[in-house]
Amino acid sequence: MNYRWLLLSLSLLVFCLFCLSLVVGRDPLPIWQAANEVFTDRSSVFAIILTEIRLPRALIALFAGATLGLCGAAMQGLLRNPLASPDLIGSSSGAALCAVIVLYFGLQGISAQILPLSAMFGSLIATALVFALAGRDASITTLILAGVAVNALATSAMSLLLNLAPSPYAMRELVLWTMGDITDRSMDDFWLMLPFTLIGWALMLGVGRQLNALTLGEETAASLGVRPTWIRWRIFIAIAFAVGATVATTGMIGFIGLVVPHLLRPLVNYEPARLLPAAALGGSAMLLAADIGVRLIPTESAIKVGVLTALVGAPFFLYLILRSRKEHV
Amino acid sequence: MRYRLGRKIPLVSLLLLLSFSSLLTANSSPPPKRIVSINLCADELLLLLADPAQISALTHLSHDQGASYFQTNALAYPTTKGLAEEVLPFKPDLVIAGEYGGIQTVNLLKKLGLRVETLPLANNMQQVFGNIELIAKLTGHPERGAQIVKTMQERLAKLPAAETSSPLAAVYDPNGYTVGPESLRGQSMTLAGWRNAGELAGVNDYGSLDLETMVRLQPDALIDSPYTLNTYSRAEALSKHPALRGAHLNPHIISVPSNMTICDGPWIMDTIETLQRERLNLSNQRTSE
Repeated sequence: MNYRWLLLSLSLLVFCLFCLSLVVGRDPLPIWQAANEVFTDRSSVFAIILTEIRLPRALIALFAGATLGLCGAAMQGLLRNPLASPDLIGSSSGAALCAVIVLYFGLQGISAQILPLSAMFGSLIATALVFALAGRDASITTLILAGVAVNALATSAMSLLLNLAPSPYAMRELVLWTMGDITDRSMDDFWLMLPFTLIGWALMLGVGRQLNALTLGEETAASLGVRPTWIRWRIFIAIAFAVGATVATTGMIGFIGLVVPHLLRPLVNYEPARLLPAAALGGSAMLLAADIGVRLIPTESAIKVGVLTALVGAPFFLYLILRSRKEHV
Repeated sequence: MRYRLGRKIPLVSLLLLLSFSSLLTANSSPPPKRIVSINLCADELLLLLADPAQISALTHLSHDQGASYFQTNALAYPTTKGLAEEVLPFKPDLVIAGEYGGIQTVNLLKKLGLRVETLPLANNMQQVFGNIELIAKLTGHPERGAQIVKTMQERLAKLPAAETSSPLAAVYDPNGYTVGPESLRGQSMTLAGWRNAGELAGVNDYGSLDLETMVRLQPDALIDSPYTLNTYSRAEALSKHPALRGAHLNPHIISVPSNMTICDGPWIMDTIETLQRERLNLSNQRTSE
């Protein structure tokens, strides 16, 4: 498929899903009336639901999905490993650990922003720890090992807090937070997430060409003027900011960063530079669709969006593995 | 005894309280007219204390027989799953949330300018009284709360003092979860004259009891609250475990309906009195044997 057409159709899909995300809810919203009231009577219930509840939800899904898709593609391109995902360098688990610490000690009462802020702090600390463990000129294997170690540390600390939760209710709250959810976020949450996300995205600008060179191997790439160590840390810091901001706002949403780049890679002729924007759009589309899905599935207690992406993502991933086995054998 | 809603308070005290409360509320704001609860325990206390016309919506759990003590009364009200966009259309002048869960929703509702109050979790009788008084005050009916608390305290005072050789019981929830003295269920056991095996096992508020501890402590009774009646009960399954059978341990099983243990309210007195009756029955059986 023509690359331009691919980006255009993905953008169109994202736009449609974004609009759908504003319309769909547990009770359908009379969208025209609501849109009119946004300009005429801002205090009406419909206008408030549209602008203060559904809009931030759709915006967060748009940006968080794009971050996950983009960072997944960058990570897979950098490590030249299709199993790489943005969670690998500890930023997700670091963010989740700090959020769980805040919830455990009940600090969220201090201010509404304390939860996302501390999660972002955790994400940066975890990435810095991976950095320190691996050393500046580390090989990719050392980096992955350092990432796995920091992830294991954060996850076990989280399990400890769950284990020590003062009551079943507190434990439920902690577990649900880690599942990934975009329900009832406010515009404040979105504004808080936006700058860090944009910093991350900006650091990714121009990375694509160097990732293309890296597909030829690190030595060849170096002879083409690419500095592998430098590009590695640049991508890691970008992920720490962007994924940290996402996890801080939504909790851990798995599988998008892993599956979306896979899905789109054949469509961009396996070229990392072209995969980055496509994966960002694809990630947005997938998270928006999943978030619409959780609103439409009539269950007793609402399904968390992270659970749905994992449920749909895992079998799909199995299918990908089976297909690639057929092709290679 | 089941609490009927809006039961009559003796006329004299009513008049007294009315004159009193009119003095007190003269300066404060009028009572809320459209209350939305997004917490099951707030649902129950609202059904107990508020005028029916004051309640706009409850949670979907309030219609669930296993969870809701006032389930039949709750059926008269619309429900939400506690999402902000479901709450807003009721244009509530007061939203009552629980201590845990839904921080995002609470933050959003506050940001949109709604008055949101939090109902804390009660870990002892004093906090149960506090919660009843809190909801009574929030709904503008402090006299109802005071009356209910007074009745509860009178019933508490009538409980006979604990004997020295009280039998041993343990709360036994799925996965062996149990309670210690610093929880409401633990305190109600003690008030009913049982010794708490959870406490002997070193559990302070919530914790778990393993089989070894059970065999060692040999509780005379297990208290469980199966969520759905007449189904699989963990406590009953446990008593069939070879370790317990081998130890000739056959604890008496006391079932307390789950809708009386999930949330706190005046019905805790019924639970305590049931537990105490069960204790007396058991002691009588033991002496006659």
